Amino acid sequence: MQQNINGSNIKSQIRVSSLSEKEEAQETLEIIQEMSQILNCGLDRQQLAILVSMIENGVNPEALSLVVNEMKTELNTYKKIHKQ
Amino acid sequence: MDESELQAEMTKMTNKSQAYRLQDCINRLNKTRLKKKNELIHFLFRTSQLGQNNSYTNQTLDTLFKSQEISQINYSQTIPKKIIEESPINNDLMNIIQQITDKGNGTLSISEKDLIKDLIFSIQGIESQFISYDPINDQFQVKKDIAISSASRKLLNVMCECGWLFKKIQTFTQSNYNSLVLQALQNSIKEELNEYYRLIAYFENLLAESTLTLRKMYMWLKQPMHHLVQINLVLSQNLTNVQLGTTSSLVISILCRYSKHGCPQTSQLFSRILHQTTIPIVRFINQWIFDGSLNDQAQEFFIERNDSNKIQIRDSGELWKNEFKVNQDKIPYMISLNDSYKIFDTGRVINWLRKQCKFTQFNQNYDLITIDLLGTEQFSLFVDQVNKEYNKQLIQLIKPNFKITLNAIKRFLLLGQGEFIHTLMELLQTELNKPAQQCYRHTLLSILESAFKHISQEVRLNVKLLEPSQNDTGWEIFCLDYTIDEPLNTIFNQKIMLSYYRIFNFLWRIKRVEFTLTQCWKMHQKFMVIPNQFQTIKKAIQLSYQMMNEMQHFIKNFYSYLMLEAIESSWKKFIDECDKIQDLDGLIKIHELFISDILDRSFLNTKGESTQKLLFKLFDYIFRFKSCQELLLSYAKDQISQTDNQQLQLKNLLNKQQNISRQNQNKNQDIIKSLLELRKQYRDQMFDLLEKLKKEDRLKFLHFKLDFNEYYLGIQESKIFNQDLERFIEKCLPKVNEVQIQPNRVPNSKQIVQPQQQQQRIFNTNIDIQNDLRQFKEGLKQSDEQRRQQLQFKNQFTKSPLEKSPLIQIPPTMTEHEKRKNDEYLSSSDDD
Repeated sequence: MQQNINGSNIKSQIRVSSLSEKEEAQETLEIIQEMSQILNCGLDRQQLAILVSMIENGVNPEALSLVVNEMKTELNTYKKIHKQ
Repeated sequence: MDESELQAEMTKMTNKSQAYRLQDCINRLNKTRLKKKNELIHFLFRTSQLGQNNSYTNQTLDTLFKSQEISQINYSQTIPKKIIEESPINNDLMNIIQQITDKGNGTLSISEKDLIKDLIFSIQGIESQFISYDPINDQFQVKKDIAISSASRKLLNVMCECGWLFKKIQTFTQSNYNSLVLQALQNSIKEELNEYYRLIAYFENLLAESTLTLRKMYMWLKQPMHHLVQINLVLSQNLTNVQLGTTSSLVISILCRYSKHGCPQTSQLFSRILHQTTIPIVRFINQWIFDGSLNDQAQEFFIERNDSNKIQIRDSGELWKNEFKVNQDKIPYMISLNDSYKIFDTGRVINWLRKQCKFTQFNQNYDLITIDLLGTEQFSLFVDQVNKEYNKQLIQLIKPNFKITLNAIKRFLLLGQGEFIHTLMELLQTELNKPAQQCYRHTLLSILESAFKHISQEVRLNVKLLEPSQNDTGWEIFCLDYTIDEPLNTIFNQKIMLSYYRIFNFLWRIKRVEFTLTQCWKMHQKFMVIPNQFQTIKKAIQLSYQMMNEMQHFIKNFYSYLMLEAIESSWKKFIDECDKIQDLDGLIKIHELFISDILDRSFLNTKGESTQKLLFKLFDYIFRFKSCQELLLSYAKDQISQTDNQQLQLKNLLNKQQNISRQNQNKNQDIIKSLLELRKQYRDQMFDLLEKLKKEDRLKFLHFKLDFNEYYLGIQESKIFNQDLERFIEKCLPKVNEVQIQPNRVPNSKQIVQPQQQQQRIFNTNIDIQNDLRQFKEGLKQSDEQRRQQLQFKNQFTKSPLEKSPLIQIPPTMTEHEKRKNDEYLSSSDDD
């Protein structure tokens, strides 16, 4: 597995150096998506893209996370009500 | 080190594969070009819903943060209490994060409540436990060794600015000012600050309920801070100009401009303040307009009393102009210059009426001016109305008195009442003939009063004696004076009365000359009938009579010019304008115009000085003529009385008679010579005068009156001929015919005839020259006939300038008989 990691590291390194901007952005987004999957954030691709751009633009991540959690809970309650 | 730690941690994880994957992703992330990776990681961990795995997430975070550069994390918000309370699990983490990001002493834990308490003090400008005043930077600052986030530090400092502004404003409101306007300003600002205090009380309330946060305070304080900033701006502008000493108007002007601010809140704020501050000014204006009083201790009003020592109560002519004045620096922005002058005028009128005319009833039908009226157009209309009304009252009061005085001055000082002046002159002549030092005022005054008896009215006339110089008789220093009372003093002030005296002096002089000439005429009347024996005497008397007529013609015409053209026309203009005026200033102006007009036309100002000198010389000659004539007539009287005796003693004293007659003839010659000399000088002056009069347009009429038949013009030209015959012929050939009228002249021109006689005597000595002479005489006779024809021709056009002589009783045209006689006379002279 370490080898795997190492290989992937090298691969990713090679990849990073030879990709254009667009593809770079896509790559980044993929990484982030993986991380969110691991951590079970429950955010899909589009949402992640928005959120990442917000953070890059200087939004406080703490606050943003709070907001996101709030919205999730609200959404859940709304769904529950709607189902009923 | 990090790697191994990470690995150690990961081994603790339940789901190792996940941990590895995560690590992998993080590594990859670090190679991307994201700027805020740490934030991103933090965010993802926060939104993760691995509820059960919270413990390891903490651990991972811990390790993560240890391995990364922690200080890159930039929190700009304080951690809300809620989360701190609700998430006890995260508390440690948060504390750690806090500790790392806050600068300062981590052990001192200050709650927000404390900070807010301190802030409430500092926004009132009071130092507190954690917020101190820094005199170096002149600001309130949170103490540097306190551990709060830089975010809250910044916020606190911003709010402390409020406190600084507040302190400044308070220093202003608590200082003592003399000026009423500044006091009003202080009051209005205090009222505005009441809002601020209310806000602070509200804050304290909220603090007690513990629902107050720094952010809330910031939002609440925004608007008051804005207001405080504006007020502070205005105050700083005012206070820097205190040295100029024009604070009140400056204050009001600045407030006025700010009240037109674009932002509606600011404009409302300032219009409120302006409203208060203009109360004193409005009060001043009201007092001034309706009462004429000035109670201005701090000298802020733009009308002030002129406190120079020159003004005394006696010199009331100056009161009108100089008692009050407008200080243009102190006029506030809203009142235009015109309006301020109208206000000034109104108050001045009231003051003047009260002092001079003792008039105290004023219409108070007008409402007082209110502040709202101040900046509007209605204000100027209102002021205008009040002004006009008061001026009308003033004019109504003054007019009757003024007209009476004016008429009286015209009658006496401008010699309007002729018969009075004539009787006065007759009565005064003996007194005034004395030298100036011997004329006493009381004698003249008594004579004046006796002259009054001839007039039915009582007049306030007085005698004024001017400064006598050497060789002055009483005539030069005599002057009539009219006493003028209090209110009209302003119009008839010293300067104007002086010019009236000058005019009077001039007119009096001319009257005197006229008077002397009438005396001459009286003397003449006795000698109208002279026995024919005394041809020489008769001719001398005729000569003097003609001269007298000439002079009378001049004086009469000149005097009538003065009275009519100079005085009457200006008078009419003045009276016409008088009815149109509406205020005292206008009246004074047109009166001055009237006088300057008279002075101008009667050559009494600096422009006509040379003409005046000429006139005085002419008057001088006339006086000399009178003395000359007296001599002549006394001599004639002697002669006539003597010759009566001589006829009786004829046989006895033949020899003696001859001597006497020769002596007499010599004396006669002397007198005639002196008369002719005088006439020559007189005529020279007349020529000069006429030259001068020709140059100016409006004096054409006078010129025409004085020389209507071009008599003087002819004499001038003939003079040139007499002096240099040939040169004259060369100069103007066509005039040769006219010139030859000379020999046919009236027998008084002996001067001209005699040199011709002499010339002809010289010619006769030489026989050759005699022939020439005969030819010359024939030529003369021929040209003489031509001349006669020409004259007849000219007579058709009624222009025979040189034939007529000045106004005398000898017939203007000669009859044929007389002409022949003259020819004979001329031809008889050849035989000498």
